[in-house]
Amino acid sequence: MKDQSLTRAKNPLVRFVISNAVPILFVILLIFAVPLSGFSTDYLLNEIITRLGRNSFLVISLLIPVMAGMGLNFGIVLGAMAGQIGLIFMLDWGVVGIPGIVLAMLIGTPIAILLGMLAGMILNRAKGREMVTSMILGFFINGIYQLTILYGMGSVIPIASDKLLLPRGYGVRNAIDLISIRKALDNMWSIEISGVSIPLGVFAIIAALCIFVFWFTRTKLGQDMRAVGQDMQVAATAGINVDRTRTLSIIISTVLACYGQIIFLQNIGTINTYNSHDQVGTFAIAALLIGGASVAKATIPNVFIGITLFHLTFIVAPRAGKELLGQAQIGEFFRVFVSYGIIAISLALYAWRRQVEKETERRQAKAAIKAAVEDGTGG
Amino acid sequence: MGQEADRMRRNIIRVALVVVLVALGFGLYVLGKEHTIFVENKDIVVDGVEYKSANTINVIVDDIELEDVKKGKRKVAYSAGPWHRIKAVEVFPDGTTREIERKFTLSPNDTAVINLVALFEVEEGWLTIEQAER
Repeated sequence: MKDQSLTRAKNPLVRFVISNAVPILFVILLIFAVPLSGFSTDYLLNEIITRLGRNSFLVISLLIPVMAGMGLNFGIVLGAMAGQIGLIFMLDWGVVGIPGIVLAMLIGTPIAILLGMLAGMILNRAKGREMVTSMILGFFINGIYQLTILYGMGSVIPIASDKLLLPRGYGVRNAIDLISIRKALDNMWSIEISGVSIPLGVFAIIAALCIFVFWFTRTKLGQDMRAVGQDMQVAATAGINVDRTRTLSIIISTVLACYGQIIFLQNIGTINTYNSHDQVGTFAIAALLIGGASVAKATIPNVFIGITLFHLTFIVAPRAGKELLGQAQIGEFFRVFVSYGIIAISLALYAWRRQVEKETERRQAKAAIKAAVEDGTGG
Repeated sequence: MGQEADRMRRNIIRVALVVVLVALGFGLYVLGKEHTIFVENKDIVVDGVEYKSANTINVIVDDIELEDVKKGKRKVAYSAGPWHRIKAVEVFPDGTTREIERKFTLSPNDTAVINLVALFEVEEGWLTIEQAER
């Protein structure tokens, strides 16, 4: 599924540049922005390591649906919501530290599985339009989530803690302090090397997830997902239950996103109950695309390259904007522009490449038929 | 028949998995539940005998240093899990000290009130357990 037609250039350098246009663009941008920002190397390293620990799990959760040919799963916000519900219950029950985080994951898991099943069922009815469908599904479930949290919790669903409930007695507050689990995973096992703090515990979990994804691609189910991703008709002919395989890929992605959101929020230390999950899909997808992934192909290196480049841009853009134009706000606008812009460009590039590819295939088929006809008449 | 047995086996595995997850959840709840532990340096009557608070006592609850709890004062520590340990060092006016370390267990909804004077003087009665308000 690699975008063949555009990577057929004979010169390997040109081929490399075409294949990695987005990351290269960002590297060039950062070459100018980093010195302009004036941040020290230590500070940037600290920030990047923190953000790698915070975001990697969420971004990795996008890989499996890409493998199954379902594109970039904007529906990871469903998993993020499940994770947040887990955290709300954990806080209400007064469970703290690592057991609290694991308990939140445990509570979030069945919710994520159910939401993943729902998403899978719906996406199977919208084959070829999975990305936009998953995005709209995210908005729809967000409505149900908000209704549940705002009116159901404290009235129908028992929540007792005054710290969580609104003064009227039901509904969860806008912002919840996660002090009881703040950086619990980060501080579980961390080392400091020349002023740079490295949360080894979180990186061990991320490494385990990478190994899981690597192993998963080699399992029967992983191979089935690849086959479905390449061609659904061929996969179905080969006896693979296409719909079930696609649903499973979305369930796995949603559950991983649930865990990813919990890891993300324990690092941040606060939940914005009604909008912490809003941007999760967009930012994770933008990071993955900046790392050189496409709608049809995403790998683990894309995750880490993408998070590094995307978040480095996030960190330096406001200061660079201030130095360059005298206004930090310009840098903030730039951040938003970059996230949405890069998704738009990548999707447009993908559509264009597919079109070129199809055109090439059509021309080749036409030429082959013509040659066959000429052979027939000539003989 | 084989299919039926397979389905049955699959259902048993699923139910077992759910049971294991619920048990794990309960275990995590017990292990991670945060308790409020009040430590007070106040007069107390145990079995009809009155014990008077006299000196400042330095207290550590599960690695949480509460430092000096002065005569007549109360301090609070928040600590997770069912098993706890309290270490108290009483400082006498002449500069000499005496030290005691005790262990206690709390259920998930318990709040503990520890009287430091009784902690030094009696074997039982130094710990009062109250049900936490929810």
